[in-house]
Amino acid sequence: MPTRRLIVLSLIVSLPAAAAAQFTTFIPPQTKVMDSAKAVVAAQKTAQADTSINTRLTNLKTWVDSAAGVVAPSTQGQDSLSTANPDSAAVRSSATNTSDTAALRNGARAPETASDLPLLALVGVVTLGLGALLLGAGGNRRMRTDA
Amino acid sequence: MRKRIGLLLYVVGGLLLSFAVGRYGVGVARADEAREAWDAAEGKAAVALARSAALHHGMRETPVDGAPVARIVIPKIDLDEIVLEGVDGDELNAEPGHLSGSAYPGESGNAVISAHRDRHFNHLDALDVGDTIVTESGTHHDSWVVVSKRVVGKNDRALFSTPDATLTLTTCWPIRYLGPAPERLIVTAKPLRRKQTSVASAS
Repeated sequence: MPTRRLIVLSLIVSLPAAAAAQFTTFIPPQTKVMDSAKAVVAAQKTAQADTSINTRLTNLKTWVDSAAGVVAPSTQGQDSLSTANPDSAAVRSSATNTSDTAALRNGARAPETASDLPLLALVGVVTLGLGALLLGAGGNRRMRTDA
Repeated sequence: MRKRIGLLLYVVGGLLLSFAVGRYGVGVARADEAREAWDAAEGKAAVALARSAALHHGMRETPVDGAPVARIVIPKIDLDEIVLEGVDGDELNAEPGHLSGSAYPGESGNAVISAHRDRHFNHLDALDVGDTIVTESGTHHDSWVVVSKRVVGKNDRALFSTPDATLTLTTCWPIRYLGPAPERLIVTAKPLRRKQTSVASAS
């Protein structure tokens, strides 16, 4: 009986210890997305004041995201906007003009500069004149009929 | 019956004429606004700021459509106008427009400025090789000399980026012609003399 108690007691003490030993070395798997986000945040903190590092940061984030299997969002527009002076409403990011630049590089057509206004004005004058002529003719005929 | 048709034509003609005159009026009003804005150095500051941002951050910023970005003076045809960003109907109705994506006058690259043939560039055909053009854009004050003048089809790819500073003026051709234009007049100029002020003083 004491031997049996001793065995039970040793099992109670040793089994959790053995189990704990297994679990102490367990490192919970972290998601790759979280890793990439942490890496980018850490890099951003160190690169805030340095524009050259800031430039490299874009590549770093792309690399980290690609390594993590995450599709990297386009950061170019954000970076451009963040560096633009918010006080100047007359300035915008040129990200939207990339296609224009590319088009010019490859040969662009000259813009359409034919205004419709002269034609409209001419048609307007002619129509107005015709209308006045018809109205006048109608008035003359009535006067002649009355006479 | 004849009276009714006459009245209808009279009204339609009046509306068309009013619309055309109204659009011209809006263009003139916007041109005045652009001139005032330029005189107030807003355009200069915007361009200087954009150039400064590009210089310091390696990025290109461009003014919004309709913002004054440059001044162009062509003594031979008595032209002195403010250039607005963009070549859409509203911009060209008011002033010559800068083709977005092209360089600004005085910068390295091809700066393209377009205007209506019945408005600001109605005497562009009078320019000849050797004539001078003056532009002012932010920190740049440049004199240009016309080096070529040609007519191309409306679908021809006639505008290319250039490594060195180039000024290209375009309008529809033939100049005295009503309706859609089948061709374009392209005038190209190269810098003759340039003067650059600092960004700080300009802004």
